Parts: sequence; structure tokens; C-alpha cells
Amino acid sequence: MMMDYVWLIPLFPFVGFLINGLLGKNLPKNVVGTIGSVAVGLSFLVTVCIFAQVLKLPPEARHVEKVVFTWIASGPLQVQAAFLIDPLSLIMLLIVSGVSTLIHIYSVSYMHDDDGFYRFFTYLNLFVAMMLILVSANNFLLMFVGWEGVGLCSYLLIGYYYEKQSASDAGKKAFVVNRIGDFGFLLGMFLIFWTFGSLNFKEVFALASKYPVGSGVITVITLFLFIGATGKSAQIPLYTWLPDAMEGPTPVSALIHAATMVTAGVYMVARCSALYSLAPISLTVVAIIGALTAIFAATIGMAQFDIKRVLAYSTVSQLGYMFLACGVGAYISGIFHLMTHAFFKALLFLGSGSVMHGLSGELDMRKMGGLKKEMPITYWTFLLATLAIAGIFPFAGFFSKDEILFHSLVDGKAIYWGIATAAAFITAFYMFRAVFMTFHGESRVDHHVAHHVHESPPLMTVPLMILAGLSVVGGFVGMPLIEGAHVFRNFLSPAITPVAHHAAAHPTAAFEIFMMVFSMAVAGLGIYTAYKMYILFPDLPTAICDKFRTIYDLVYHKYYVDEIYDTVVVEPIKEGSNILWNVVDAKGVDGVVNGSAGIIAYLSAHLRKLETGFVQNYAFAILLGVVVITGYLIGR
Amino acid sequence: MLIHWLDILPLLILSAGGLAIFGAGAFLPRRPSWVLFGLASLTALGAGLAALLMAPGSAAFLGMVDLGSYSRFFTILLMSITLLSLFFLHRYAQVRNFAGDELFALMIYAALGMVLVAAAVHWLIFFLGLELLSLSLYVLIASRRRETTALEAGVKYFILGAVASAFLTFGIALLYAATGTLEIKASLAGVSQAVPMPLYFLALSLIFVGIGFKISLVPFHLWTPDVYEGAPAPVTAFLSTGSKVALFAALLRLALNLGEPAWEMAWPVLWVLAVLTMALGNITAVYQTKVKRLLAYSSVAQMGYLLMALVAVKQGSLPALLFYLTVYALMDLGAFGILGSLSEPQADLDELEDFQGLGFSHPWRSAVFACCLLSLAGLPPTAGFLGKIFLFWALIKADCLILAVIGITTVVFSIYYYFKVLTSLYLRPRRREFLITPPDLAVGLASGAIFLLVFLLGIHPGPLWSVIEQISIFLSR
Repeated sequence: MMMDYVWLIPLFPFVGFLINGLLGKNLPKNVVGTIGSVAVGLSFLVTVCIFAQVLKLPPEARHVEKVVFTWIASGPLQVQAAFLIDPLSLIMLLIVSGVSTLIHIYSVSYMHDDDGFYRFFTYLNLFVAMMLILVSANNFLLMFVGWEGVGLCSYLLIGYYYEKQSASDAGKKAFVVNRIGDFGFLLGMFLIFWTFGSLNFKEVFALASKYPVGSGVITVITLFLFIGATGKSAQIPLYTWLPDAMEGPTPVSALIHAATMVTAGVYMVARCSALYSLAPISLTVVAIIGALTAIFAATIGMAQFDIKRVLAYSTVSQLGYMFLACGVGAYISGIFHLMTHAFFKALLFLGSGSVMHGLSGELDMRKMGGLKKEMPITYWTFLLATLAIAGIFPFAGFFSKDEILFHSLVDGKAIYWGIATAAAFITAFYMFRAVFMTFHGESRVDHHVAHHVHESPPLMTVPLMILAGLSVVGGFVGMPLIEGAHVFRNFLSPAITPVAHHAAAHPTAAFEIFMMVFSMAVAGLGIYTAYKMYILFPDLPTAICDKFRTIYDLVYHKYYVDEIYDTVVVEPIKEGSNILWNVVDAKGVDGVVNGSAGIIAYLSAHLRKLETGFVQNYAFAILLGVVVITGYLIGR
Repeated sequence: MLIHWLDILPLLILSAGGLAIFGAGAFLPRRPSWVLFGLASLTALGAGLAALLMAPGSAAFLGMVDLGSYSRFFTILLMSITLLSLFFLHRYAQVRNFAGDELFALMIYAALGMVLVAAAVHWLIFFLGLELLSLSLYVLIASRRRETTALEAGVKYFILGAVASAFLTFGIALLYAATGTLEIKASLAGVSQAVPMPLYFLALSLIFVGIGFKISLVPFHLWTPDVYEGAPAPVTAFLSTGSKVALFAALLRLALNLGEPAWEMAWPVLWVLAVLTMALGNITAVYQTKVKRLLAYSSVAQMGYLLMALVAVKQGSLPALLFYLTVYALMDLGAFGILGSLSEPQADLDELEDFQGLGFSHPWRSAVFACCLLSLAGLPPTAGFLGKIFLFWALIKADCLILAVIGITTVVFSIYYYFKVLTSLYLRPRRREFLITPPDLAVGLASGAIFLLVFLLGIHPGPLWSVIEQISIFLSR
């Protein structure tokens, strides 16, 4: 049985990490790149084999746990290093290992001139190993190992160009902000163990199902876990690290900060659907945060000129959609969007990387334009991804986004739908703004860069094309309307515990079709607006900005959230730390420590005088001991 | 009466091995050291294997020598110590030209004495074993007889050892006078009305002083740094582990056999001595500038930790004690053994400054040395860390909280001086060229084994722990 070898999946990248980390410095770059890519590719192969095997099983038998060894056995705390194979983890494994493989191959070419080449692949392989552990663990603690592991790798890779101050700052910011979320996750985990006495998913969910809907303890647990998710998946209020994370190399942004790691929070919520479905309050919180993040980040995305930042805010916004879906109980739609998003967002980032590659590292869209001719493959793939994210039929994003909009109206509230639709409009607008500014119109490229603008080599364009293919057809697994044709839902539903609805009104097919046409129309309007502003009347944006200067400034400066956090949170903590350091530590703690060290040194210096070197003195000491001991024993 | 000679096979092997080495020395021309070394190693290995593999038929041999699992455990441990010491000693002695038959034969006889001490259930055998051990050690310490420091160390140990032996013998005699028996268990167990109490306690304290001298408890420890410094480093390794393990095994047996009223009187003495030994050992070590003296005080302090847990031996600290004894033997042997291996032919490296930069010029042996130091200091993931955890845990479970707190405090102080050595090894610039002899296979094997075991026991103590628990259960029945 291939399933018995599930541990191979994270092992391959881990071995790649060890080889590249220990020996990579002395290996030629091609070898390092090959080791890294092959390691991840092998994981993908194993995953595919296991997937094929699981498909043969009847749906109710698709839950297999493989214990590798007992990791912790301490009283009631029994934790195993074990893997869980079920539809949800398989989907995640396929996405992670598949997209990682493509991005590794892309990176071989993209990073080729970098001195830290082996370091890059070492970190990247470690990241993949940790991410695979995260999505395949069968208990919260092992999941947390992956959770922290990917956090570490994210930190290392954001700060990859550590000689740049902004990059190392961004790395630290990501790490610290994530710690806040992790603290929530930890508290949630403690509370789970305290309540259920176990950390194993299956056991916890089975025990939880005996609790009533709306139970207090489960609400608190799920809220704590969701704090963890907001950190890792960059939701309000902990989203600020993700735009800064674009300081890392572009493949990293594509892999970690778009396709995989940032979706860990969505995965976790879906994994714990059995808990969330019992906590309506938590679900409402998830939905509200998701919807707010979706619109909030989208508006910021409108006013950015750095192409990677536009994509970063778009990622935050799309993650908001996924949480909105989970919040209204449509976990499967959330995971569906997670998958299609992984395809097209990875493609968008890799495309922007390809543009950077061609423009000697230029990121500012104001200095691009007209690249369609020089970089045709990049252009066409980028355009397909943009159509997908905008939600145009029949691209992948259309199916998943439409499902979320539909469920937010049917299962949620009209206001969710309103916000999400508005965000969809803005998304279409700013994504096409990016396409038009980058690839269309007059070239605004610096003239000393302009003469060596070129299309990227095949090692980069082939992954682009594969991802473009997936962005086009990836949505077909979730075909709406036709009964039983939603393959994705049929496959995933055994792993998901749905919310118990009172009386699920089944809307008619006509209503569904109307919804689709409507959301298409909204997206089309967004595209048209962008076309009008950036192709037909290029002077219009400046005029509008001047007219609404205050609002524009507010958006352009990202609503000053970073500045607010700085004054309200960061500075007071710094001040407090200074007091702790200068007064409590330097004077108090150090004083006590140094004082006692001084006493010991003094004693030591004098006690060694006992050591005279004369045998007579030593014998006298023995005699003294004899007298005292016998005196005590007999005298008592 | 039928005598089962096979039951004491390890002892027989040791005696015969010692004679064989002397014989080889007498009859082989030029006395090739590798033959002598090989014979000695085979003897130790054979005795250890005999103890490991052969289950004796009876509980004791003629009422003199214990044959139970406790004795077998210590026989195996002591033989391992002897074997590892021999591995460290051979190259050292060869380079310095004192690898004669008397050296190896006396090592074997000392080992025989250790086994007798650890296994004795009769005062006569105990005394014989102790004297055999001591006499062999006096000569071993002074085996580089052209070195004045070695001679001085030998003489010092001899004189003070004679004093301690006198106390011990007198104590045994008084005990016999008080109880009328020389069987250890009977003489300690029952204190009936007929026994004159002052005589009995005088006897006990004199015996305790004799043993306390050998395992360097404060205030009987003053010889330790002088002797450790003067003796050849591999002999120091043997002395500081083998003789201490053997004597502590005996002390443990005495403590377990001591009757209730006498134990009630005795444990406060142990309590006070444990505090004194831990505190003085660790504090005095802080100011030492010579590594051998520093390690000598460290081993004094280590004995203090063991004595501390001995206070709770009646409340179930026995497994922790046995575990820590094993670990102590391992790490102290490693430290002194590597110290010997990292020495120059003229003189052993001793001043802290001499060690500067050694971590990079001799990385492998320095790594083993460093791991032993970390273990002595009690840092995870080494065996020393886990051993100390077990000791303190056992103590806390026995409600000896104050003693445990004092002990932990002294452990914290001790980390300072171990790191003094480590900083010299790794963080200070190299001061001079080293003329250190390259290691041979035996040193490589011994240090590799110690390195692995220190980490293995620190991470996966399960197998050893379960053996020790079985012994403890057997003993407390």
C-alpha cells in the first residue's frame, strides 16, 4: 500500500534541505537546484499515487491515519507523530507539492545569478517539508510544528536579502506579528487539551459533537484558533506583515505568501469545521473579519504602484473571501477558492517576477508599460490569471468566487454579499489596472533598461504556462447547476462537518444563473472602468486623485494602519521594555546576580587557602571530621 | 560442602589475568606493551562478559561475596570503567615509556579490589578488597617514578590512605566487639538492648570516615586535587571513577542495611556532609586555574550530589543514585581520559591558558571533552542533565526540599567554572603550538563510545533505567 509511505511526502524535501544545507555551499548551482526541485517533485509523485489509491476507496473509508511513532507520552498527554489521509489533507497536499514543484523549477532560473543560491533552496525545501507536515498532521500539536516551521521559513526567506535593512525589518515584522497569532493558536490548543484531554483531530471532533450548538467553551476555543488564523493568513487586524513580506524574492512571494502558507489559516478553519459548526458566534466573527478584510485590502490595492504590493493586497483580499466562505458555513467553497487562488495567484506573482527579470528588477508600474510585445508569454499567461481572479467565465476564479458570493447571500446575510460583490468589482478594476499599466499603452521604461528588455528563459515560462492552464481549467471540477457534477464537493464533503441549517431553502437554478450573470456583469464593469481610465483616458486617474485628494491620500497610505499600530502598540512596548531593561534588569536582576557571583568568588579565593599541600594539615582535617561526627553521634 | 567456583568467575578471571600479565612480563623478551595491554583488556572484557552473561546459582558465595543483580550490575560497570581506562592509558604510557607489566597488572588487581568492595557482604572481604584496591592505586599513581609530582602524589595518597585505613579497621573491630559478627547485614541491622550504643556509633562513624576519605567527602577531600594533579591523567580517570563507584556501591549497601534507629541518627550527618561537599567542592573550583584541580573539585562536588540523594535512599532514591553513578563514571572518565590524550609528552596540559584554541586544532577530542564537561555541568541533552533531574526529583519526592534547593543552587554555581574551560577551548585565541600526540584506535574507540553514550543516555535513558529499576526492586525486597 502506497499509503504506508505517506511519511515520505515530507521526508523528501527534508532530505533535500539537509543535503543542500550541509553540502550546498560546495555544490554547483545546477546540482543544488536539481536536488531541491526533484525532492519536491518526488513528494508530489507520492501524493498523486496516494490520491489515486484513495479514489478507489468508498467515500466513507477515506479517512486513514498512519502512525509513524509515538512522539510524546507524558501522563494524559499522548501525542503521535502521525499522518492523516483524508480528502481535505489530500487536496492540500496536492496543491502544496504541485505548486511548490513548479515554483522550484522556476526558481532555478530566476535565482540563478544570486550568491545565496544554495541558501535559498535550503530554506525553500525546509518550508515545503514543514508545510506538508502542517496539512497532513493528524493532531493539533504536530500541525503546530508545521505551523511554526513555515513561520520560521517565512521569516528566513522574507529576510533573504538580509543586507537590505528593509528586508530584515520586514522579516522581523512578519515573525513578531505571527507570534501574536501563534499565541492565540497555543491558547486554543491548551484549551482543547484541557476540555477534551486529547489533541488528536478525530478524537477531539468526536468528543465535541456531544456538545450543544453554541457551547461556550467551543466558542472560546474556535475564537482563539481564529486569532492564530488571522496571524498566519493575514486578516484584520494582523494583516500588516504580508505587504511588507514582498521584500523576499518573488518565487517566495508566490509560494509562501500567496499559494500555500497564508492559506494555512483557511485550512485550519476547514479542518476544524466540526468545532466551528458548533459555534455560531465564532462563525459570524470569521465571516465579518473575512468580508471586511476582502473589501479593505481591495481598496488599498487600488492605489498601489508597486506591482508586487498590488498582488499582496489582492492576496489579503482573496484570503478574506475564503474566510467569508468558511464563516457562512461553506467550507468547501473556501477550500475550492483556496485551490484556484493558489493557481492564479502563484501565476500572477511568477509573472510579475518574470517582468522584474526582464526589467532588471523594476517594480514600479509607472515605469513599465507596453511590455506586451517584448514579453508575449508573460503577458498572455498574466492576462489569463487576471481574468481568472476577476471572475470571468469560464476561468477558474469564476467558479470559486461565484460560489462564495452565492453562499454568502443564501447561507449568510445580504450585507456579506453586498460587500463581497463590491470587493469583486474593485478586484477586477485594480487587477486590470495592473495589466494595463504593465503591458499596454506607451512604454515608460527607463531608457537604459529599455534596450535589454527580454522574455524570460523556458525554465521560467514553462511553469507559467502550466499554471496558466490550471487557471483556465482548474474551476471545472466545481461545475455548478448540474446535479452531481460538482466533483470537488463530492470528494471533499466526507471530511467536512456542515453547519446544521434550520430549513435549507433550495434556490432555483434560474436564481443561480441570475447570480452568475450578475457577478460577471460586476466584474465586467470593473474591467471597463480600468480600461477607460488607463487606456482610453490616461489623464483621468490624476484628475480623479486631485479631486478626492484626502480620500486618495488615506488609501494611498494604507489608511495609516501601520502608523497607528506603531503609536498604539509598538512604541509603548518599546518604552516599557526600556524601563524593564534599564531599571529592573540592569539595576535589579544584574545587581543580584553580580552580587552573588562576587560572594562566590570571594569565598572561593579564601577557601582554596585550605589547600596547603601539607599532609599533616590534611590528616588534621580528617581527625577533626572524626571528632565532630563521633561527638555528634555519641553525644546525642 | 560443595563450592560453586563458577559463581565467582569474574573474580577468577581477574586474578588469573593479573597473574598472566606478570607472567608475560617475566617471560617475554622486551615485554611488548601491546601484548600486556591486550591481555589486560581481554581480562577486563572477559570478567565483564562473565558477569553479564552468567547468572550465578546462589545468592552469595560462602556468605562472603554477594552474587545478586546489584553486584553483577556493579561488576559490569566497573569492568567497563577499567576497559575504557585501559584504552586511554595504553597510548599515554607508551609515549611516556612506562607501559610495563606492573602497570597493567596493577590496573587489573585494582579492578579486582573494586569488584570485591562493591560485592562484599562480609567485613573481611570488604577490607581485603579495599586494601587490594588502595595498594594498587598507590603504585599506579606513582607509576611514573622519575616524576617528582607523581611520587609526591603517591606518597600523599599513601600516608593519608593509611590513616583512613586505620580508622576503618578500628571501626570494623569495634563493630565486631559491639555486635559479635562480621557479616555486614547482621552487624548493621539489629540493634538489640545488648549492644552498647556508644561503641556501636563510634564504630559506624569510623567506618564512615574511612569510606568518606576514599570518595573525597568534605572534610576528608583535601588530598583529592593534589593527587589528581600529580597522577598520570588516565590513572586519575581510573581513580576518580572506578574507586569512587566501588566505594559508593559499598556505602549504598551499608546505608540500605542500616537498621532504623541507627539510620535516624546517621542521616543528619549525611545531610550536613552533603551540603558541605557540594558547596565547598563547587565554590573552591571556581577559582582554580588548573584544569586538573578544577576537575578534582568538580568530582568532589559530584560526590556531594550523590551523597545528597543518599539521604533519601530509604524513600526510593536508589534508582536515581545508580543511574547517576553510571553517568558520573562515564563523563568523569571521558573528561580525564581526554585530558590525558590531549597532553604533550613532557607534561600534561594543565593551565586554562594552555587549552586556548584547542577546540579548533583538535576538534574531535575537544568535542568529546566539551560534551563531558556539559554533562558534568548538567546541561541538556546530555546524560548529566537527566541524571541530575532524576536525583533532584527523587529528593523532592522524599520531601527533602531544602536539601534539593541547596543542591540545585550549587549546580548553578558550577556551570560557571565548566564554562571557563569551554570558553578557553572555543572562544579564546590560540596561544602556542601544540605537540599533542595523535590518538590511537583505542583512544578513538573509547572517546567515541563515551561521546555516544553521554548523548544516548541523555535522550533515551529507558533501557538502562528499566534495568536499574529491576535491581532496585530486587534489593528492596
